[in-house]
Amino acid sequence: MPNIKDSEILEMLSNDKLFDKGFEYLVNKYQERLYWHIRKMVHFHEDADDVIQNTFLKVFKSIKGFKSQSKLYTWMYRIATNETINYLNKNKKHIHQNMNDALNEFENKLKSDEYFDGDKAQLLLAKGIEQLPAKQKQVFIMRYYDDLSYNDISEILNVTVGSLKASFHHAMKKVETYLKENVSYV
Amino acid sequence: MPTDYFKNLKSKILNEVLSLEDELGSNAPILYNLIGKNSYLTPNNYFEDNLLKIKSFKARPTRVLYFKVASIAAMLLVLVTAFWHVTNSTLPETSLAENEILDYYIGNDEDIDSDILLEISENYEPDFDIELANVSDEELDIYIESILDDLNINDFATIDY
Repeated sequence: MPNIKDSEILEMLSNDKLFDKGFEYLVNKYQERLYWHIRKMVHFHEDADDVIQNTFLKVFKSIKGFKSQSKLYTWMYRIATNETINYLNKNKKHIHQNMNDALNEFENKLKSDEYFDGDKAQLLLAKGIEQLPAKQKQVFIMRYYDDLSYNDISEILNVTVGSLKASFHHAMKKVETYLKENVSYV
Repeated sequence: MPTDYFKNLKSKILNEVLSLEDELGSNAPILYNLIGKNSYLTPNNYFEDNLLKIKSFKARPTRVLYFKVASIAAMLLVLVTAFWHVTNSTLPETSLAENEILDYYIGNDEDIDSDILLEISENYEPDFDIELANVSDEELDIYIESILDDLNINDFATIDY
């Protein structure tokens, strides 16, 4: 598929006759980026697959109302992030568990996942991220894995850049400390 | 021009160019070493297949709406029948539990995933002949009106006739 600009995609989406083609371009251009963003939040492929479907279904339903006040991809990132959070909240289990039990269960599940191929360090990193509070986890993933700028994250999460920097700094320290403390297992 | 445009310009540019590597620097050497390593896999051709799945969305909203209406209709029919039983006979314990579940679904249908409603509607096969025989014309009118009240005029526009 050609490398098509967002403005061209939006123009196609505003035309009923070209809508299907425009939506196909949109999905093709952004599905991988959004998938990996979601996957880093939920960790497991089956969950990421559910969330990406819901995300594009929501994009499909609301694209005609997109006002171009934000960038197309930050708008879709916002939808993907919200869908991921809703999905995680819906599927939250073992509320009674303490953090260590929950992390051990998470580790065992990840180790046995056919779509996870990480070494010990990466498993530890996933655990370190998993223990972060939800907001810090979002910011950390957008910055560390997605390499988004603070301005873009600010637009997606509607949080000030200063607050994002503080969140990332705290998250970075926590994950680094967790890795250091468990480095003997790596 | 926005207020303080030039005042904020410098920090805006810095926020764009500040690299992750700069930020992690010596503060987080282990994280720094793990940058860019992806340990997650996807099934073969996942993104190509996914594109095909997503392309089928065009038909999906209509289908979901159809099943949503159908499932609500089916559940309301059961509720009306159950109500008739309550007023005319002693209700077994199991029926009460079913009523509670139906009440919950009907009262919260906006919050329930349409896929769940779809699944319920697909698994539920009411015997309309028997159930309709127990429902008066007046009850049926009330029930149809209640469904129509809940529907938006735009919903009809999305139904393929």
